[in-house]
Amino acid sequence: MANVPNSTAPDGSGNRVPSFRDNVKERELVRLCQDGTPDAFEELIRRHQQRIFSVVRSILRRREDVEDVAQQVFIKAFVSIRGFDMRAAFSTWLYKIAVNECWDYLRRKRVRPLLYEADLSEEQNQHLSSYVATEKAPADASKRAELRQTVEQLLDQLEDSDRQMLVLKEVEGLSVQEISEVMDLNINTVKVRLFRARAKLVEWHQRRQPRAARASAGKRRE
Amino acid sequence: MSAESELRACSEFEPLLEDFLEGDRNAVEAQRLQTHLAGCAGCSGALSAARQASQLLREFIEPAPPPSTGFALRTMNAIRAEDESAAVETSFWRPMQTFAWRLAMSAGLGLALLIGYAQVVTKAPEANGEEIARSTVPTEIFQDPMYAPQSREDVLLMVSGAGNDNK
Repeated sequence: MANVPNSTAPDGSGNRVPSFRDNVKERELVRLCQDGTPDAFEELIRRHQQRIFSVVRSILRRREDVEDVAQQVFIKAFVSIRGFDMRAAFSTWLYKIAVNECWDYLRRKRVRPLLYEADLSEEQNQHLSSYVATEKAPADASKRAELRQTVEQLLDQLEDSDRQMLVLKEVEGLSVQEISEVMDLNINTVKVRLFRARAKLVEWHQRRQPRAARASAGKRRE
Repeated sequence: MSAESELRACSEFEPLLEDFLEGDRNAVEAQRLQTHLAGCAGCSGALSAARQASQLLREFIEPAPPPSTGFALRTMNAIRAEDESAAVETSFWRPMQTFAWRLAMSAGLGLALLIGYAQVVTKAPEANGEEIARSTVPTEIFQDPMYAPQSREDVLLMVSGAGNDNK
């Protein structure tokens, strides 16, 4: 069995130190795994864990379940890695496993992704409007939490895939290219859908604002 | 013009607007977009709304938690454990082991039944010895004939006579 050099700190602290393993190409690591070297898979986990956490979080929206599902994603990937033909990038293949695992998980638990109440109260609208107007987030933790819930409610107005796309882009920081890989979509489609989803969020908020507030918001934009 | 229609961008410019929002500006395309934005309320309204939405999401939605320390190691341990149990299940000797177990179980069951049966058979005469002995003595219905029958009629007579005697 071939060995992949270890890159953990010699003091056993678990902190990573750069090693030549970092330069091993992904395809090489995949090939080693396919030939029966599990250590190479550990390196693949390290390289992709953060992105997989992001993808899982964007679908489940429950932070507490993310790690369990992410672990299941890697276990499934390891079990079926011999079937991976390297025609696509390893990351693309892994993202697809992650997306399927998330939906399976939600089906098994018989829950929809975390959803918030559909409509905003007048108070929520006012708080959101004042944030949009001043662009200053409240320092008070409870008000921040309230605004966070308001934004989550707005997000729930979107279709599942649009919401996932938007969270991956704006919250998790994936590029359009990466999102197109995760969601198996054309890059231009991702751009258009992202742009429309953002506009929809603000549109919903504006529809709920009183006419006078809308007019003043329009003036501010000009 | 209503607020909603102010936010509708021209579909031709939507991918460019997304690039523009992300700061990815090709000089020629940017010039074309700027000229368009100056005269199109829909695109400029949608661009401004998209900026607001981005800001809201970045400010208030928390990103995924980072993987905890040792996540990769724990996952590898889980993988190894699954791998080992799968290896046991698919090993060469596994079917033979299963067969041997089944054989042993069947033999044990057979032996138990045999012992049980033997006990019933050997214990039963002791318990009801007399009764069984009585029941095994055959009741004589026909006595031995005094002489050998010479014809069919003799036989019939002997049989009818013996029947009458028994009554």
